[in-house]
Amino acid sequence: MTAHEDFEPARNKVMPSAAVFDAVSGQPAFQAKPVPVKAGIGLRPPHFPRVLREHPSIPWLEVHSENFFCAGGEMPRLLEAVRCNYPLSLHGVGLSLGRADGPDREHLGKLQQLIQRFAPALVSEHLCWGAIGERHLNDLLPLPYTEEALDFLVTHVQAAQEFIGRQLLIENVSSYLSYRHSTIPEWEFITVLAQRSGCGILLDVNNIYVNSVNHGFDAHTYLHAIPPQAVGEIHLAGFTRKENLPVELLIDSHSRPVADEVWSLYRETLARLGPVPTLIEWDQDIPELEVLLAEAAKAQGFLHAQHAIAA
Amino acid sequence: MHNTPSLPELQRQFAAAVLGDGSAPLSEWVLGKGLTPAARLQIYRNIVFNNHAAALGTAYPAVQTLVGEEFFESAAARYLRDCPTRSGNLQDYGADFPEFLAQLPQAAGLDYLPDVARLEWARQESYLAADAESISVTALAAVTEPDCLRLQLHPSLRWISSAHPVLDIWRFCQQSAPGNLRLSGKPQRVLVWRDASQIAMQEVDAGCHALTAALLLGTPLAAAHEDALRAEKAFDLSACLHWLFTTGLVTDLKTS
Repeated sequence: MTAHEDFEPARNKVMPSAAVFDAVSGQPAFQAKPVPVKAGIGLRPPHFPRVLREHPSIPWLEVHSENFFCAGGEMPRLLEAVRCNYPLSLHGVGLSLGRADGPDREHLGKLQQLIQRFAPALVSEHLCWGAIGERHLNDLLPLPYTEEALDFLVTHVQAAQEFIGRQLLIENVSSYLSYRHSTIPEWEFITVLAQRSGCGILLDVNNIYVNSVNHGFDAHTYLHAIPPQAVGEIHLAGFTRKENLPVELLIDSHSRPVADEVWSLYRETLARLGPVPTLIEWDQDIPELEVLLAEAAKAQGFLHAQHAIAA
Repeated sequence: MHNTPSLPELQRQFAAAVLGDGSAPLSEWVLGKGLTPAARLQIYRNIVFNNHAAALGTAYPAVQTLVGEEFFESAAARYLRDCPTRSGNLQDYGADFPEFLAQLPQAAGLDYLPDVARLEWARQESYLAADAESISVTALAAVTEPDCLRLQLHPSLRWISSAHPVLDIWRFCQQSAPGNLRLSGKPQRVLVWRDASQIAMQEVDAGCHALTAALLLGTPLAAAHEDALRAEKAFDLSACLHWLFTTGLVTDLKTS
């Protein structure tokens, strides 16, 4: 199976111009501000107060969709306030598109309501599964890379995109095991998924690096198989190294600065793809906002250099 | 070696392995690559447990203080095995933890513990509940058919009725270094609601609790008043209504 070059360009499709209309006033509640080709940060609850108080200069923000699934209260109000000042991306962690029994309609319904209310520029989910039957494991679990799993995933991504009425970006995940019966390399799996379902790719450069170590492949092979026009966003995060094991194993902990090896792979990624909106993620042991902004500034430096080359 | 598992089979086996009841059939299909398949599955067991235990700890801080970290962790592990969630949103995780604690033999000596947990889950639900505008007490003046009047209360309002001083225990747990609490043994009825972005709690008497509980079920005010009088002979309806209105807990009046 090889990747074809017949994608709908992700970077054009993910920037709708539609406004969301306020039910009472009939006025647009939010215009969907496009995400600029710059480096943003993942905004987590500890940093909401400062971002709202000080309005720091950040090109765009991403939040976890599920944190705002509640019917009311503080969280949606905070996001409304954030949304007034920053372009927004909604990043889901719980849809479980790879579950064999199909995505959860209730979860999709809540995601759709969130999209209608906040008009995000980007909506993303993961290349994984996390639930089966009535059990939800609430983690990004690895799929076997088989034709069977690909068929399931294509069907579910298409159904989800139809349901929410827009394109999803699908992110490659870190994994700590692989299956004996996998037949397709991960880079080919995600490429064909994008091609068959029409989704875009959220390329997590840290996850490529982590998996290259954990599963013993060349990260460059992965990178060079990815069709540039399908990539709508890049993620960067820090990993931790699991100690006292007979093999090298990296955990995608989102608890540390981006590693040097990943910065290096990021530069190569930009050289191959051209400049792409990039996001710094940090979810455990969340540091001061300045630390996140410094990481974003570092990514911005690489993006700027790439813009200069492209110009 | 058995036939290649289908994706549904593989995922069911994976869930069983990670949630704690068996990994044998799956191990054949996991590549060891320098580790045992079981060791690789153990990484996921740890991550899945840590995610759920952290969510439970966020929802139940007072329970955690009362039982200590070690007990809480082992209860969380058993709860994950016995009551896996159906939701892909960890904010929903833990709804039946109070009932689980009530059945947990190791917690049998702490008979107030399930009620403290119920209070904490009420706080969680209240925090996430829908918004609604309050109405003023002056709206009552326009009511022409008081017999069929129903009061709509705020969507974030919850109640707990406990044989224990559940609110005192919860507040005791908020101290930075809780010492010993002398339990009075008195029952407490507590209303929980969201006031701006804060969760508010108020101990109420038996009559106010009965009235509120009935109104939340959609009972007409006249019948709810009878419930309240049964719970407390000296119940003062106008004082209780005045409090509900001025606290912002009434959001609509209906006369049909």
